[in-house]
Amino acid sequence: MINNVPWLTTIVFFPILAGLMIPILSSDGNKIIRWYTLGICLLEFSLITYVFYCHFQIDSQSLQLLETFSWIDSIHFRWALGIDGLSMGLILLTGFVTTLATLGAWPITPNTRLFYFLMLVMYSGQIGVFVSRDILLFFLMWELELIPVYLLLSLWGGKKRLYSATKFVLYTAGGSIFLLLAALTMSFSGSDVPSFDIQDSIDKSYPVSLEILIYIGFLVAYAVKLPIIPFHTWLPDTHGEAHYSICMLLAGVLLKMGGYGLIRINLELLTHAHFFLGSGLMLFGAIQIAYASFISMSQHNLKKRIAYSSISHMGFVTIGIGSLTDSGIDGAMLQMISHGLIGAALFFLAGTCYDRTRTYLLDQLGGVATTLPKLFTMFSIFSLASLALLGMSGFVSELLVFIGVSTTEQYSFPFKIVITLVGAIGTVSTSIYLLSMLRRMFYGYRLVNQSNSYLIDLGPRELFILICLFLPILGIGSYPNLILPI
Amino acid sequence: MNDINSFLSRLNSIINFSTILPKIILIVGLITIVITDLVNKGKNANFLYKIFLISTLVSMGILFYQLISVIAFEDLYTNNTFNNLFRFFILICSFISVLLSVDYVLCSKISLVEFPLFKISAGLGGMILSCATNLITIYVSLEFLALSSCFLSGYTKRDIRSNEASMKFLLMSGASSSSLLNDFSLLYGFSDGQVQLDNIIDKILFSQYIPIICISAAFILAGTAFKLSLFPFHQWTPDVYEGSPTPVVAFFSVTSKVAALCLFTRLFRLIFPYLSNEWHIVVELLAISSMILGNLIVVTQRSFKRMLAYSSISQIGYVMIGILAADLENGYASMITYRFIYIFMNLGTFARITPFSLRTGSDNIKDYAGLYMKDPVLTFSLVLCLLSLGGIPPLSGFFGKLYLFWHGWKAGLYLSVTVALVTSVISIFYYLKIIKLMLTKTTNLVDTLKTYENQKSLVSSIISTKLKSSVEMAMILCALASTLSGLFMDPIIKITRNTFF
Repeated sequence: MINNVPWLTTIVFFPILAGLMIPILSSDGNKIIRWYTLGICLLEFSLITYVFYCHFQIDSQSLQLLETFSWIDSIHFRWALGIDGLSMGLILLTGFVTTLATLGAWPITPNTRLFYFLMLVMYSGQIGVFVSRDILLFFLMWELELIPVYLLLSLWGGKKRLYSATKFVLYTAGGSIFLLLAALTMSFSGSDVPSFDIQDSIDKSYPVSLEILIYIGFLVAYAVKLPIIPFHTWLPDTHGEAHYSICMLLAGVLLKMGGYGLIRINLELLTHAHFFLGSGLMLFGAIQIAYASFISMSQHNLKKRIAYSSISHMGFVTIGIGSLTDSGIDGAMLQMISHGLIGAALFFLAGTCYDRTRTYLLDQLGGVATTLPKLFTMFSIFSLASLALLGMSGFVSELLVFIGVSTTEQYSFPFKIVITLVGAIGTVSTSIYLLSMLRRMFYGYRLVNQSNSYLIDLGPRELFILICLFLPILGIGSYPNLILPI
Repeated sequence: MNDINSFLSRLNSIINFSTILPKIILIVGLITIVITDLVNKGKNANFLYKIFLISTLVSMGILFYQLISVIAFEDLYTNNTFNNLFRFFILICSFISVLLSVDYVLCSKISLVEFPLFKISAGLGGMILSCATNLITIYVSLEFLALSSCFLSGYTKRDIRSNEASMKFLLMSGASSSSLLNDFSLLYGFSDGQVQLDNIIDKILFSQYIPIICISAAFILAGTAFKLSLFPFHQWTPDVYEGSPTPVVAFFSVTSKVAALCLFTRLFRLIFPYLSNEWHIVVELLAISSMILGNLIVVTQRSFKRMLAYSSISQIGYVMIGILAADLENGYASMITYRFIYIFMNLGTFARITPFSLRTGSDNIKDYAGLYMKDPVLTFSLVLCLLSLGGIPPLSGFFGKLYLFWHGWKAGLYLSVTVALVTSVISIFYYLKIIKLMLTKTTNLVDTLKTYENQKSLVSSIISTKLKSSVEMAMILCALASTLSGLFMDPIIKITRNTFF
């Protein structure tokens, strides 16, 4: 790097420092706060893109933009940041989705200051997770998410928000315990000088059983976050109750933290254990796809339906990671990015629909296509993207994952067939539930006691958000080479 | 003249003056307060408090100076970093808790003078206890601390609960001191009449009365664990905390625990090094049970002070891990660092409860609902302190716990660290519940909050403008310390490192 400006630290710290200035802003009228936060988010996002364009070489394999400051010497906890292709894609996704989520949170009226402050804190924390090279720093950023999400959920959520917020915190915190324990074990074993740096840990080799233990420890934490069955039960509650802009954040970025962690730590550092447990991962992933899509079919609550579809899509990530091939991992990464966009869009749509019709239940949402044409169009487009229609990014990623599964040499043939079959069943049922959701919502007869005057169609702001989300999906779908070399 | 000179020089040669200088300053402050009160006949409250604050500050300054520059010599009081740190902590605790108590004492119209008096004497007791290496000194200072705390807890004479609290405290502390005394007599007997701790070690090192030494270890454990409120000697804690006036509880919860920790570490480390395996197991058991008990019962509490009592029980469990994990190169750094952070977190929480209970007269957690609307500053600082207690990054509680668990894991205390982490999660749950309660707007406010007035309107007529904001100052100080000290933990750790005996 020619110039030594600490870009990554700036990117991580900027939102939270800007957020600390929010209490100073005057509180008459929420407009100032909204525009301020939006401005900060945009600024941050442009910083990220700038860093990406100017300082990042796409072709190089190694870490870039490394920064290391020694922070707490006595426990060798260093402020070490660095990114590579995987992180960069996810950071771009974070910036994008968070900015749009801030935009999408326009209609929130109570307590806007706190809300936007928490959004900015989340922004910092998410980026921090993706750039940290030091396992303790990773853990710190991971834990940092807990409280803002809890507060965001419990203050602006739906009816059962306290329950779901508490569930979220307990689950995630419980999972992170294992992360800390595994991190500590990993750093202390095999060397006299404990080191948390990820780079050092790659070079270490561990006895196999210890490695499996550590792997399982990390896996529990990621399984809660990703989510992997059977640790997924927090997700429908949380996503069902949160306000839709928070859902965008949750589905768009937080779930990817789990996948990122899996790839970064388990894949790169604990390769032997990964060989052993990779087949388990694939199995769970395949089951997850099918299982979640079946549950989704029976949901009456729109948001919970989409939540289960999120779980189902993340199953692809798990399969991809477990497949031990390059194309599988590529597919997993691509799926993470594409699902981030699609999931965010779907939740946003569901939320705007709720804003208009005040109900999440599909039974009450009949036949609104004629009054809300734009909403209907967008919903259909994104549902089709979600079920991996040709030309959208979902298709490419799922194809890659399946290719990865089929070409892997590590597993026996019948196993591969089983996985592919189960995955295929899941994909088919995805289309079933998505289309049925569309049908129930938009086609059919309108309910008699619906008052039409409230059903205003999508405003320009919402349309803007959706189009922003749609373009990358289409772009990645048509030209995957945009993202893949990373 | 000659006599005085020779006396002074002898004084200098026997006891280096600067060791006990902080304590002498405190004693001087104490005497000044009494005299001033006698002279002024009960008026002019501010002056008294200012004297106290100044004397505490001066002795803190001197101690700080001593901490930084290395002074080593030996006599009745050994002056190494360990002692100094603990004395410094006790002074900080006293200082901040007096800041808290000003408004409370004035508002509840209890007698004014004895309060700082007892606080100073308790602080003195704690300080002497921190550097005592002589069995007799230990006992005397322990009693000093205990009796002053007793008086403090029964301070509001008209409150029945306060009387009950002080009664309980007196009885339990008497029982534990007697068990300690019993043990001391055993040790005295074993070491052929030695009272100094170092000499005791030498004498009993090759003794063959191992079972009786185990018994004496048990007695010491019983005596000190009471002060620390370790399980199963924790029964007094919730009742005493709930009954005593709030600033007194604040003082208790940090000062006596700090002093007792010092005592505990010193006694066990010095006397029973070759019983270390058994001792480790026992202390580990106690620590695990304290953590589990404290964190589980805290979920059901309705009174804020009781909740804080149980949470302090569990915090002591965490600190025990730090004691167990001490090793040569790091000393008791983890325990002391966590203690330091804990002081601020705890005092910060009390600093918020005190004005709240002053203004609304209630201790119920449910009455805190919707506090965000009425008093955002209080709410936010309370949120910060509670989150820090729970161990959420990036606050300092997280870093303290991280350091503690890092040491514990390194020393091989896998079970304790796992239990500690699990119970931390449980405590996070409870703190979050309170935070959520405070931050949500309730449509119908609780009755108590309806009469909630801001500080200025209630108190400004009574005391001068300077002292009006003393609680605020304490609040801000503690909030800042609990937020920022985690980030700057490195220099703190460096200071606390060379504390191994």
